[in-house]
Amino acid sequence: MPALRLAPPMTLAVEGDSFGGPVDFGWTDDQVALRQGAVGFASRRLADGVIERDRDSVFSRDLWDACADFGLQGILVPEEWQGGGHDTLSAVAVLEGIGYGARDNGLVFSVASHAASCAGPLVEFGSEDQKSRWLPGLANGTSIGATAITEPDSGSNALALATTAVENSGDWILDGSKTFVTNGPIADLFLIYARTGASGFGGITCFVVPRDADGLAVGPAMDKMGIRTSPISQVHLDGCQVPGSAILGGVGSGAMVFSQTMDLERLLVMAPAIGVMQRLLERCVGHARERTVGSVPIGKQQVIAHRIAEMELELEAARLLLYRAAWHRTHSGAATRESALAKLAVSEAYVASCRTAIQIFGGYGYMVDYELERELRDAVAATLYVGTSEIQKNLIAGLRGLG
Amino acid sequence: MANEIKPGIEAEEVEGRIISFVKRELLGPGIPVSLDEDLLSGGLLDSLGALRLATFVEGEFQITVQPSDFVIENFRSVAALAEYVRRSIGREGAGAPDTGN
Ligand SMILES: Cc1cc2nc3c(=O)[nH]c(=O)nc-3n(C[C@H](O)[C@H](O)[C@H](O)COP(=O)(O)OP(=O)(O)OC[C@H]3O[C@@H](n4cnc5c(N)ncnc54)[C@H](O)[C@@H]3O)c2cc1C
Repeated sequence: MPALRLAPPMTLAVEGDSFGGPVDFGWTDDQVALRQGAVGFASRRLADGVIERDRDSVFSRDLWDACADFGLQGILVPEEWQGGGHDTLSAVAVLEGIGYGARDNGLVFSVASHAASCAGPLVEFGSEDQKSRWLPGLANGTSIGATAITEPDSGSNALALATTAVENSGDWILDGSKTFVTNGPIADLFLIYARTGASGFGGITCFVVPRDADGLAVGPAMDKMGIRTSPISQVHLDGCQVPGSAILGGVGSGAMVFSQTMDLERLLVMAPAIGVMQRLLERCVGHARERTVGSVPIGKQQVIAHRIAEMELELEAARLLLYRAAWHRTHSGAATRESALAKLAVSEAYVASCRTAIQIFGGYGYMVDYELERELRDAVAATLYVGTSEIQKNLIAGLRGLG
Repeated sequence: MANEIKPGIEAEEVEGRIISFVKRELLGPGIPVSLDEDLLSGGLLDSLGALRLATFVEGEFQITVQPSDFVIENFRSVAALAEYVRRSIGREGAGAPDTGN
């Protein structure tokens, strides 16, 4: 047999990550137990009354508090500030279990955003004073967190924001408007990104701003298609004065704080989607076996069976990308490429999986009581928040020097 | 005598390796960059560029850039980044690089 030869001009990159990077697929017993506990908690507490809350766009403070008692809001916060002190991988395991057991995807999104985009960067970049002042409340859920970078005129080009922060005798004065702020209507604490002078990427700074700061006004809750139990609004800053101690991560580090926060948020907000997809897959398998049309179970039709096989394939591929990204962030530091790949795969598979589930359930799937049409409405947002699918592709290609 | 801080990496060549990556991959040919030039505020580097620079130093010097290290002080200039790289190598230990194989 001829030896396998490479043509001479062909060069192969054999750096560490050329084959996808390292990974260890084993879960510890603790992580398995945490995920099981999360499934039990979520199916007991977060699965009822969702049709009504979704219809009326109701955020449940009681259920928020129940999540906090369970430890979700403070999952990443070190124990010295009343959190659970878990790493990203363990948090992903827990949130996957929550997504599987819960049906209130909106509430879960609110909790995951709070934990990832407000508590997360305070853990990562906060000064000792900032941590001891803000983290205990965020961890025990008495304080609700939000993050505000998006503006009406910047959107996907988030770093082109126009909100300004100008120094005035050691204080900073913030002016501008933010939109699509998850938890805005109910938040006690905002991380607000503003331009602090210089035009470049180093000219953005992140500020920790309490809701009662003078000059901060929250707009009315915006009505939306899905995740309707998670409130969202605009936030307006009109001469909002904060002390220098409100700066998170240093003047000019805002874009970097944001970038690391997005890596984390992509993983934490997408983890529940894996649990939801698992639940949908199981429902579809059950329905395909039980539903008979013309005395034949629909699962006997190859076209239905294949759709379910494709659902499973997409779920498992997305799940592995998510685990790998979380593993990478836990054990090897920054994980922008991995989290962008995972976010793109999970969010697109999530929408596809909801569409397939409705198709397999036929007309029943379109009825509110079957709770599948809501899953689809909830899922669509995943291809938009924390960077749209197009932006994830820009990021993935951009890291290769393309685009 | 060469001051090797990790197998195959001498303390003095960290700046050079960073500069050649910045010129080759981020700025394009012909655009000069000096050691102390402000890369971030000066608009030379955008957010993707900073991420690529972080990925580059991780691979090139076999270090881990922790999320909390991804701040302006460490990435402001080639000199600052080189200093950060040397500190990280010192912190993580100068053992043989993990080739990922
Ligand atoms: C449910 C929900 C929750 C959110 N929560 C928050 C929050 O808590 N805090 C916050 O700050 N923001 C939040 N956002 C805002 C979200 O991050 C933005 O909606 C998102 O970044 C897109 O911006 P945009 O809506 O202005 O769309 P646009 O930027 O106007 O994009 C419109 C379309 O153009 C595409 N597009 C734009 N630019 C490019 C490009 N360069 N290349 C290719 N395609 C491009 C987009 O992918 C999209 O398809 C939330 C959004 C939603 C829907």
